[in-house]
Amino acid sequence: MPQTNLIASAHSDLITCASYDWYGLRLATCGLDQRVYTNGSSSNSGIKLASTWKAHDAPLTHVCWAHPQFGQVIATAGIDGLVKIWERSTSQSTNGGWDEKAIFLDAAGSVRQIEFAPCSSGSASSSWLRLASVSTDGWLRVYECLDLGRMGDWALKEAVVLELNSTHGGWALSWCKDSSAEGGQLIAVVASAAEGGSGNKSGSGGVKNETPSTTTSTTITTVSWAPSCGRSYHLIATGGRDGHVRIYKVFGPSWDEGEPEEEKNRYSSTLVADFDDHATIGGQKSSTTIGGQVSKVEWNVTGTILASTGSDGRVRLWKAATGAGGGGGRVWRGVGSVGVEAK
Amino acid sequence: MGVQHIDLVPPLVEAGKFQDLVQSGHTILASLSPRNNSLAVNVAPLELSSLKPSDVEQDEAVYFATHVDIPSSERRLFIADTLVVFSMFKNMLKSAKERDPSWLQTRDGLEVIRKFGVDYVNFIKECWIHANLCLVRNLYNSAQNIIAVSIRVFSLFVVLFVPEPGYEDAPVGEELMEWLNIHFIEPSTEEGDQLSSLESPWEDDNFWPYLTRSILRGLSKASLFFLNTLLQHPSEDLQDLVKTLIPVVESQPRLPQFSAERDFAYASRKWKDKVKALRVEMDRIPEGSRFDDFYDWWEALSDIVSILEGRGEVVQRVCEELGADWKEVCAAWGIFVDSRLRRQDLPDVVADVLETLPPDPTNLEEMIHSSLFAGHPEEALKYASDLDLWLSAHLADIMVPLGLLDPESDSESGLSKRDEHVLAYAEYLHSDATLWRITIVYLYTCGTIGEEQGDQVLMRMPLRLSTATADTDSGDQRLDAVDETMKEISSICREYSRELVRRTVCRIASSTLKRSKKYGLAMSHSISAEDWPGLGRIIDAVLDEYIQNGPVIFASHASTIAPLMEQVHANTKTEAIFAHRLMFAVKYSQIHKMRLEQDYSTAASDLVLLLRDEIAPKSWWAILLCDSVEYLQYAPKTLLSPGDAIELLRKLEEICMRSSQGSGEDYLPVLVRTMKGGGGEKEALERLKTVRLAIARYIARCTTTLGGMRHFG
Repeated sequence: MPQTNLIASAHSDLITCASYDWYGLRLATCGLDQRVYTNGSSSNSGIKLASTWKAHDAPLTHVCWAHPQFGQVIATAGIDGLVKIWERSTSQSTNGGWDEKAIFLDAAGSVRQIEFAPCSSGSASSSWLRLASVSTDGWLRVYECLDLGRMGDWALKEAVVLELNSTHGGWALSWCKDSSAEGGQLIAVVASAAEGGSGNKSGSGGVKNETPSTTTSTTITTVSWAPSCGRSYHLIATGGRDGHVRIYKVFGPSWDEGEPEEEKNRYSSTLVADFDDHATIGGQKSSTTIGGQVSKVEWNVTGTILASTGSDGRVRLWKAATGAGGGGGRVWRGVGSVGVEAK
Repeated sequence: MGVQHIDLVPPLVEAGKFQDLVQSGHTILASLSPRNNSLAVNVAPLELSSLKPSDVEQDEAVYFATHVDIPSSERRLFIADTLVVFSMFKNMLKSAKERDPSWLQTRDGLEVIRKFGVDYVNFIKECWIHANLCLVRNLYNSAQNIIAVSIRVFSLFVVLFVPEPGYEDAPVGEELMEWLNIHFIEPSTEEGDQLSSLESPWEDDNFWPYLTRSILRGLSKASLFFLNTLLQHPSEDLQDLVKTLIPVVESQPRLPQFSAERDFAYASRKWKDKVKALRVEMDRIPEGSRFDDFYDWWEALSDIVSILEGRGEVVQRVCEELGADWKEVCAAWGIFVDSRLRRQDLPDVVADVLETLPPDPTNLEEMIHSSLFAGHPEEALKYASDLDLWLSAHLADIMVPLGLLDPESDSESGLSKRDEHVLAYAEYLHSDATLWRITIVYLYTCGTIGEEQGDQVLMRMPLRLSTATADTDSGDQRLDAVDETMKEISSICREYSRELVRRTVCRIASSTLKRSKKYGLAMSHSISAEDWPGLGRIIDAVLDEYIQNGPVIFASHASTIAPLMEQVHANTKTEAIFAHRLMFAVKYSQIHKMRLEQDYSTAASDLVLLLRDEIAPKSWWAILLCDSVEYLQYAPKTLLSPGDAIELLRKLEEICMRSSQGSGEDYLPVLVRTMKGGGGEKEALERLKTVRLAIARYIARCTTTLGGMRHFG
């Protein structure tokens, strides 16, 4: 498990989000310094700074890349409540060569996470560009680009108010990345101490809460929907203030004839893994209110590795393997960790 | 594999002090790279609710790390070489299944599978030779060690589970001993050289252990050499015994010498009688003559005779004393104790031996060997996967057609055991993006789950073109490179029937090329992907060239898409609206070309045709009408018929009337965009007044020239 590189961050303050592009060749970072940096890598020259610009007049909270079939498009979000769409300029312009194409002003609070909907090849979502945002005003919003040729014309397609139980909460979202029709149509969203749920978005009915996927009373801080890659079920991972990483197996609506109609359309979930490793600091459970919480969970592109980071100062990697004893059954286990402390 | 941990350097905090960082409002974040599953790690604020400039003191940095050891160059060679056998094996299985699935269990089928097993061993050996060459350069590393382990394990697997057809039920002892002698050499050549250089080797402490082990290993040449030296031993009793022993050792029946097992069994029985006679002779030696000044030679010789007699307890004890392990006991068992030991009986022997000589549980190779010896291939796979994912994947792959592994998928994971191991190996390969071609070969053998994982890898192969580089000198070269990558990906998609992937990659390429203003290439990829909205956006971009850069550049770009018009029209799946728009762009560009070539007459009539047949979108009518002014005002001759002029007037009337009704957005946006110095619909309508004036003048000119209104119809 080797360290492969180290680059000095060009940010003058903390990075709040780092996001790889579709290919994993470029890393966009945004920070408290209100700026976005993109770093490109090539086999010859390693990783180097590609461009930088001041994106908002406030600290940034999130940055993400759109699918490359829409060109080089980035979205940024900030505590100013704004979401901005940026497109790589064909000519050298200001903003490090990125043109501001659209601004969404709807949020009344800090926008905490944004994510472009996946382009699931084979489904209708392969031809639309959508962006979901969750903000501290307790709204999930989904925007759609109406003019993919120019990127400037967007409409608020869905807006759903989320139940808020606490102001000191977590806000996160993650699109379903299935290659079937569900890809880009379902989204898992958490807001404050509310339970996680997968919203089923449809043209007429709007986003509705389909199923609570957690039973924990803790505040969820991060959520990630795994690419299903041929599996018959979904996997959703969450991280919480209690330092637990939880993995849920989610089943879609049943097609069994015998099922009652209302049951058929429901999503069901089971908890398949619950790790409290991030809650343990120096061999002991953290007793501080700010210690031992999970800051981020993220799946790899094949949905086989889950990376979690927490305030125990560790990045932890989780994978599923067939359980011992030959009786089948998948067992999730830690396969590696990365620390930042001196040996 | 066990849980690995690394600490990044330079460290952010001293050991055990991360909580200090947390207390000051910091944490860390990690992102997984789609390219190779590597991690980017950075310090971040613990809470986003109280964002304010942080007081972090150390320089900000982003760390990168991978969770697996990226393959070394030797390892990559090994991976590429063994892929050849894997692919051929896969093709063989595929064609066999298509022909007759039961064929694999026939003698011919097993013969072919054995050949592949042997091929693996030979390929790995070649890699081992290459790796040994690297030893000269002091490059010995764990990769080479793994290659050596793979040779030993795969060879053993072939011996135990893929015997020559017809020999499945033959005694296995000789083959096991051969495997042991090749891969675990004992006694060492150095010891033999040292002893043979002595005048009286029996005086050396190593002599009897060396001789005993040579006998145990069936190394008759070495055994006989040192037995012959004993003919010089001062003890005449020993000399006499050795004189009897030498022909016994020389004449030990070995299975390969016989064509029929019955003959071997008969010869073995007769030979055992000779050994018994030797034992009787030994027992006659008086107690007081059984040792010399250096050693109790009688005891040592007795052990050797006991081994030849096939006394299991002595074989086990001697092995223990010699520091040999359970493998040696089992192999010797098949030579001396039960020379007709079958493969199916081996697990019973192994179970007994392992009770007293268990394998080292910390040594994964040992555990693999013991599992294979014990007839537990699935258990061997588990240990193999902990040791090396290549080994477990390829063993699992070959185990399925041999019936050693359940081919059915687990209901929970949707994966068979074989697929699980192969997918794990493919994930390891994914850590090195340069191995993507090999990665997908393995993934695409693992059912739907593997295919979709392969799709993710394939779709993320960079086309090596940044849209921002269109204006650089190297732009064209890089476009060529795109073409090569695209060709390769398309070919792979066709080979594995991954049409949706091909279309996605085509859409990406199209979008990239469009940004680089390579409209012709972009459009051909859109057509290939049957991405009609994308095609429409390219046409819009070409039309935009007119608005942004004027007719000359527009005509030049439009000429690159013109050859594709026929293809678009011929494609029955093309949505009419896009075919129509393409026709307009091409024909309109041709009008400008004709104009530049001063073929005003054709240009003018074609322009009217675009309006009359409504090939031109409404949003472009105003532009076309403005263009027509030049033709209306052409002095040398009249270019349009009076009817054409009236058609222009009709279109102009529609624009003005609909705009006054609030539909200006449908008719005027393009003209508005072309107007230098800005302006809106009002200014655009103002400009159209010049068109109205030109038409009026033209009609007046026609009236004068042609002598009346009868021509206007």
